[in-house]
Amino acid sequence: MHLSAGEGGTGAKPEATLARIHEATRDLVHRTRDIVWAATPQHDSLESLIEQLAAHAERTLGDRGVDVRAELPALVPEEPIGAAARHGLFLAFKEAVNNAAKYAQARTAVVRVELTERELVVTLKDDGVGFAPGELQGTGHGLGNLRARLAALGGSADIASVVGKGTAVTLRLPRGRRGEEPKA
Amino acid sequence: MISVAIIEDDSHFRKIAADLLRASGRCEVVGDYASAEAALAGMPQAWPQVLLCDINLPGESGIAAMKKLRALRPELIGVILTVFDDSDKLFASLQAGAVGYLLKSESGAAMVEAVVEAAAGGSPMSRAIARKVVRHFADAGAAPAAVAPPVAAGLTSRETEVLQRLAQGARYKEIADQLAISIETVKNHLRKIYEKLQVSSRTEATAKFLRG
Repeated sequence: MHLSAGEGGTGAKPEATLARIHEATRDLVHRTRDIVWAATPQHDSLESLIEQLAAHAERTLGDRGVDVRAELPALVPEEPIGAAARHGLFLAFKEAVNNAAKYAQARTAVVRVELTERELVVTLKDDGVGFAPGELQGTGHGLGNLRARLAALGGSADIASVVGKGTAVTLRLPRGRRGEEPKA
Repeated sequence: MISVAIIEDDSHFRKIAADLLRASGRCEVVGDYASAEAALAGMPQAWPQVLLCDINLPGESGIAAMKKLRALRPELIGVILTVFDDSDKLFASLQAGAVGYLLKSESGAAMVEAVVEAAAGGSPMSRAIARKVVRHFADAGAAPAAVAPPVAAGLTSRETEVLQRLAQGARYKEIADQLAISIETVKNHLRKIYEKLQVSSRTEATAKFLRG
């Protein structure tokens, strides 16, 4: 568990305490905003999704002292992405981020978004403790159902981990499937 | 010590922001106001170097307040402090004379850095804002496809490069290293970009006005 110096009150520097209150407030605001973001139809663009993914990784891991870098395409086409795909991908990505935050003990992480002709590829890579291949099921890792989540969207999830080296989670979502989604 | 004033109607956020600025040891808070009206009445008695200003306020907007305050005191350095969903108002803020645009979701340390940078004559720009700017210039230029670089809209190729790298997620230091220039030069490029944005958003506003 990583806590800032002075946790517990007595010897806390006012600055550290303030920063913590600020972070707690910010966290609450973010959680609310994530929910609002997911539920707002105006956020159905690729651009909005990309910024949301990067910002989510940065603040969740950043608040735990992980140095997060984003590697994004500078400009993406104005392309709509359906609610189911947008929501599903974000939830899957959130699981990957939470897993890294809880277990990885990483120093650095990279969130990379790539756009190929057919796919949106989102990768979260950390330099943490990693885990053995058999460990995926039943150890409390939230990664087990990523594959099912992405498969349901016509995409795929790849989880590669090496003990002592880190973990990379790659989520692939096909582009331009909006018209195929049933209207809710 | 940099003197700072804040206009923000959320009293909780206003207090935390003021406390964080003071605790940094680099800023003194000479005024905090809950509305544009209160700021217009009070600030002329205690001008700050830097004004941190929210956009959505109960009465007049922060953008209008910044415009009026800067008309009274042109040397006032304005930084907009707002939420992501407002970032479309970036261009209106620039026209009101803001030199920087910061999201409330960024850390307290980032807020202090932005104030220090603005006071030193810089134009703090976050990645989220850089992405908006890239898109703005792409739309403004005669771009054949949505993925074309924003060179068309009057940016030099070096400015375009800096902007694109920032939009891609690189930090000032990394951009400086990649382009073999100093961080100061990176900041200079960003200031130029803001200036050109100001001009381009004015031109657009005029065009819109003329079209009726």
